[in-house]
Amino acid sequence: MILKILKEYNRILLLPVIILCLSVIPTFAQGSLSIGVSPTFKTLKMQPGETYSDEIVFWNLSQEADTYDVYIRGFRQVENQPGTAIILTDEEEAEALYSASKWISVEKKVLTLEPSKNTKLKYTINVPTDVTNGEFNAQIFLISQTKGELEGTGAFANLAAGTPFLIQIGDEFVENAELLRFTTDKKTYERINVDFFTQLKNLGDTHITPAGEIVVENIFKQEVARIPFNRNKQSLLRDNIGNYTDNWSQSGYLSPSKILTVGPMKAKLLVTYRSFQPGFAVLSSEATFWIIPWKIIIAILVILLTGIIAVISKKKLQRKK
Amino acid sequence: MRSIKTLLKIGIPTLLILVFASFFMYFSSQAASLTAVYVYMNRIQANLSTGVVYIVAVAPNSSFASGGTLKIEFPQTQDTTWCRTAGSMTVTGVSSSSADQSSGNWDIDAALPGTLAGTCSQGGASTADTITITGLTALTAGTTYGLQIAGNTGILGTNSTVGQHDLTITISQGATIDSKTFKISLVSNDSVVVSATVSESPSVNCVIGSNTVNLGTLYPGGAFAVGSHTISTTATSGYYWAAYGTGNGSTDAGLYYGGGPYLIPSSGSTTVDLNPANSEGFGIVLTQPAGGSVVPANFLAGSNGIFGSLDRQFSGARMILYKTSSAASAENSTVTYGARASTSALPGAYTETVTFICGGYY
Repeated sequence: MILKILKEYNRILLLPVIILCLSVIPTFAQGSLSIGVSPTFKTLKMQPGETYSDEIVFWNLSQEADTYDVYIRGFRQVENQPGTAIILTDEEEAEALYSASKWISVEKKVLTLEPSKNTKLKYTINVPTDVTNGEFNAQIFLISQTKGELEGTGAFANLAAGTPFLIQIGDEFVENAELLRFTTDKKTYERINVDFFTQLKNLGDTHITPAGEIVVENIFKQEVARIPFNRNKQSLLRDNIGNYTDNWSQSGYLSPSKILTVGPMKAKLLVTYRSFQPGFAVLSSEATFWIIPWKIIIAILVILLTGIIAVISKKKLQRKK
Repeated sequence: MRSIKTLLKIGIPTLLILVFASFFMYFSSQAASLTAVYVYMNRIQANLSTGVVYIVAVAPNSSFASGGTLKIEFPQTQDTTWCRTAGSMTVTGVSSSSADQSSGNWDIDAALPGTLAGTCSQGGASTADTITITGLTALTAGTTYGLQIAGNTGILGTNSTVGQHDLTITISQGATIDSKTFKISLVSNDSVVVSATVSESPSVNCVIGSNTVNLGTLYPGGAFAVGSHTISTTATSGYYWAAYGTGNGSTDAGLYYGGGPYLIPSSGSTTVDLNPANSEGFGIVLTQPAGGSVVPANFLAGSNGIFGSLDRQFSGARMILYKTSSAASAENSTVTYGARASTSALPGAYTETVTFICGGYY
């Protein structure tokens, strides 16, 4: 009988138990994490058998010391974002053709960053004698060791930062790229705040740093804007695709040279990427979009309509008189 | 014989009077040591030919009537090295100096009173280089007076020998004399050249406000819970933040309870919607910092209950914030974590470790 009652009220009893268990009061050891690094990247030109030594400087601007594990791995871009670097997983590293991680040695495997103090991490790169020409990469990367005990529901935040290395072996490289896409984020804009999306693929055997311009013309083929492409000089790794975003914004509807910037627009992208004679390999594409200041247009129409109605009404009144 | 007697009668008393009188006169000269004295020089380098300025603090042991004189005498064997050119000095009473001690007599109480005039004279065969200050008005015993002596037509320098040198400071007025001899020390070089090079290398500085986030209590089938911390960045030429989770270590990122096991996943390629009834998930959103930084749409805070989804491992890192130009001052963003448990969630303590990657562009 008792068992039957318990079985019947099983669900009712279970809920408070679950709530009780999930409501364990968490104890958190909170602390801030701070890491500064210089340089943020390093490009080297080396030869087989060559050795290079230098240092990376890390610092910690928080009030307490932080301990970091040091990783040396090949890297790849984060989500096709040129100029970014995230180290490879063990599996990826094992298959990475251009990883230079095995060439690099550092003096410490664990680094403690004292508050408000620069900490140098010395490294040495030994290029193997039998390496083929081309560009290889690796990153010296720090990841904070998770601190504190956590009971209950919550999240730990780790901080990671490092210095990517692009190591060019040899003197001659194939620089080749393909323009995959050039478009705007929308087809019509009320205000001039246009994001141009460009997608490039690096087909060469070294990184490229594309540069160029986006020239915007109005319906009368008058140039209304000239926007630098990739003004931050973000590089694209070999065998990678890179998405570039360039913004064009302007407060009014007149260009700096007082040309009307309303209506259909045509943007022409011109990109160069070769370090030697870049003008011989230009990538270009066009995108069209509209700038329609509809609020202003509606306001003008309303004023015009009001005026017309007023005039007609006045005439009608005059006729009646 | 009578004349001898007369002579003795007059001579002996006269002699006695003279002896006593001279004895009395000798003791009327009240010489004492200064209670406190210091000399604070703007330069302590040996062999300076010009530009030396003294701040002198003196506390007389005696009280002095108006019309006194203050003298600073340098070693007799170092003529013309301290007073490089004889002539007038610029003398100013000062009521404080950097060398003042917070307590005791080495703390200037008042500027040396009077219409002060100073000269610097070079020593000779039997005299030493001397600075003489005249025009002092009445001084009170135990009060520490301050004065500054700088070159005018007279030029002050320092002796060429490194090490200690005796200096005697005397205040006198009539028969009242207070003085003290003490040492000052000269060094070969009193200037430190500090040099530093500002590196050309680009740098980035990244801060996470807190390494733990409390999501409070999740009720199975209940509402979503949030917790937050800030991230802050400065960079010389652009920066980016990416993030990835750990989850259960095999399938997805998210809040994980190893005792179950049970994963509240951060599923989906873009966002996790925690609004539908009995939904379950974990994600983060960020506020967009001022100054032109960009938070990708799926991670941009603003839609209630919708959070950007994370993936796991390095390979699952997702861009959460970036800027393609420099950030000279700290750019702050608030990272908010959101989580919701469905009715099927097992009771227990759930945790997730989110790794934030911060870097500058190459």
